[in-house]
Amino acid sequence: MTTKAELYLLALSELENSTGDIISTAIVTYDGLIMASTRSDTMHRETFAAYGAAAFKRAGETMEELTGENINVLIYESENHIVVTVRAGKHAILIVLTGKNVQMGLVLMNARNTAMKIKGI
Amino acid sequence: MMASLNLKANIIVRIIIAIMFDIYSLFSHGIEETIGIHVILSNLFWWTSLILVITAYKYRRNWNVGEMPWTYLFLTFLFFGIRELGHFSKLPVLDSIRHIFGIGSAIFMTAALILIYMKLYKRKIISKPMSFIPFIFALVFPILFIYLYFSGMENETIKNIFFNLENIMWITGGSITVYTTYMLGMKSTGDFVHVFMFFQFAAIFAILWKFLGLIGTISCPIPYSIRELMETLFGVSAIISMYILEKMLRKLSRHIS
Repeated sequence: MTTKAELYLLALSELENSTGDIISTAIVTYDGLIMASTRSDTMHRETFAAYGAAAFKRAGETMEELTGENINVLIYESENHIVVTVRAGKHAILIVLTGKNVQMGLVLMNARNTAMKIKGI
Repeated sequence: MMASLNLKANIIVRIIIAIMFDIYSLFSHGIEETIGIHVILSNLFWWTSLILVITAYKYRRNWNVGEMPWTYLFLTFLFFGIRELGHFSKLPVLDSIRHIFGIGSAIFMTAALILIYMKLYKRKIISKPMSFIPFIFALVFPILFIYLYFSGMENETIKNIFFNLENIMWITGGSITVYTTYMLGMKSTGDFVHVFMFFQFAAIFAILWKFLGLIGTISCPIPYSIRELMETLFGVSAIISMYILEKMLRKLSRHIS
């Protein structure tokens, strides 16, 4: 029998295969716990999830204060990396860490589609 | 569903009544240590917390902070549970041993939260020998006890030494824990904020409890009932933090299975 965790992992693999230059992806809870992740470095995974969820939460609070609406997507970038975070249902968020050479529109579209898939699982 | 809610409400009301009895005892107890309702409550809280740690450990894959923080969390609650069991005996030797378990518990709680902070938010890999330092530190105190015991020192004196050592260890460890839980709470999100907040409450109550004990031995005797209230609140905060952690991990496990 396939578990939800395996289905989540499959969705992440499809996202990585369909989009180039993705470094890491993870589905995490709003508490910062990992539901599924493609990163093999276990200690780094927890940090990735904790910081990713915290950033989304803070941005969500800001969005709520400024517009009175819920946040759906959060994008932030540094010199060499981009992080895209998408709400994926009531319990989860999808975090995608990419390199700088990625096509932003493609990442955003694929991340949104994957979030929809996750929501449906 | 309704029956479960009623049961939970019933349990909460009973705990509140028990705490109120404890507050009542504030005015009825003297300076001397007593076996009151707080001993039973404290034992109940710490042993239940230990069970919560064990059940949370079952879901450790959902919160992979490494083996050592889990070990130290387990030892914190185990040692404090044993310490609380020691309340039922009035033998000075057993009292000293009780304080040694208290010292161990303080060391392990401090170490657990430092390791969680280092691993989650500092991304520092703690080497195996380094992560054993709290064990070695905790081992010093039983050795000291054995040395003092066989050197012919009076049991009452040894008991007082370990009582003061425990006070100092909890005040120091508690202060470090207040800092680490503050840093963890600032960086985390969701229910983790509550986990670390209640750990911080526990540390603050532990500091207060032990500080009152320490100044009591120096010059200003504090009614034992005030200290036992602090000790009870310390246990309440600890059990709440473990309950939230366990609930969070259990919920996630349900979501991904």
